[in-house]
Amino acid sequence: MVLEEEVTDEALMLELTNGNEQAFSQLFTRWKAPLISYFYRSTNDYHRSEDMALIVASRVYAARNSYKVVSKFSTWLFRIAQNLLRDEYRKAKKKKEEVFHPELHYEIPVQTNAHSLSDMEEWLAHAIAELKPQERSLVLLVYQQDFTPSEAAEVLNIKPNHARVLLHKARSYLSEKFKNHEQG
Amino acid sequence: MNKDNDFRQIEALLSGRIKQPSPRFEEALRQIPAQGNSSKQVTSWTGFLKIAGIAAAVSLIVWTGVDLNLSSEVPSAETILQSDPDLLTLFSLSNDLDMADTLLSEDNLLALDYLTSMP
Repeated sequence: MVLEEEVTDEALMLELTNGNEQAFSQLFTRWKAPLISYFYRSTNDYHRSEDMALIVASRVYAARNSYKVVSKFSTWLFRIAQNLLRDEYRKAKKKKEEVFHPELHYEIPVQTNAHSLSDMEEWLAHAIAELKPQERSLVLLVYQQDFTPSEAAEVLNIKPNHARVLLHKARSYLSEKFKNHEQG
Repeated sequence: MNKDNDFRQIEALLSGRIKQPSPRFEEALRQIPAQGNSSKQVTSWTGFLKIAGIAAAVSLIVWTGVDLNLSSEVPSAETILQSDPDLLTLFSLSNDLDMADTLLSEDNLLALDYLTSMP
C-alpha cells in the first residue's frame, strides 16, 4: 500500500496497528529528527539522544496494538519521550559536557552579529540546563516542537494554566540571561 | 503570546533541528519491526545485532583463512586489523553495540516484560 505525505500521524499509527509496517517507517521519518533534537537539548548528549529516540521508537512499536486515538499522536509520542527523560533525570548522573558542533548537527535559522553560532549554542545549552526539568521540557515542547501550551501541559500531565505560568517564568529567565550575555 | 526581541533569538536557536541522524541510528531504527515481531525470541534488537555481528565475524575469519590456533604463528590482533579494513569496521561496530546494549539495558527489561506478558 502506498502511503501519501498528507496522511496524518494518527492514521499512520492505525495503519501500523493493522499490520502495515511501512507506516512505522513513515512515522519515524517524520519524528526522528524532532525526537533526537528534543533529547539533545534536554541532555546535551548527542549519542545518548539518538539512543533515547530509539527507545521511544521501540516503545511505540511495542504499544502499537493498544494505541487508541484519544489525543494527537505527537502528544502521545512526547509523553513516552517525557517518561523516558524523567527516568534519565532521576538517574542524575554527572555527565561530561560535549564539545558543541552545531554546524555538524543542526540547521539553525539564527542571525546574530555579536556572537558566533558556537558561542550562542554553548550559551543556550548552559541556560537551558539551568532551568528546572519541567520548565525545560515546556520551553522545548513549545518553542522547539511547536506544541501549544495546552498540548505541552497534556504531555507533562499538568494543568494548562500552570504550564502558562511556568512558561512565562522560563521565558523571562532566559530573556534576562540572554540580555546579560549580550552586554557581557 | 508577546515575543520580545531577546526571546526571538532564543526561539530561533531552539527551533533548530538535527540535519541527519547517524547511520548507526538509522540501522537500529530499521531493526525495530523485525525485532518486535519475533515474539518467541526474547532477545533485544541489540542482542540480535550482536549475534549477527558474531556470525559475520566467524564467517569473515573462515573466509579470510585466519588461523584460530593459539600458537606463536597466529598473527596478532593488531596485524590482522591493520591488514583487513573489514575487520576494523567490525571491531568498531562491536564497540558501538556494546555501548548501545549498556544504554538500552533498562529498555530491554521493559521489552522483556512486554514480550513475556503476551498471550
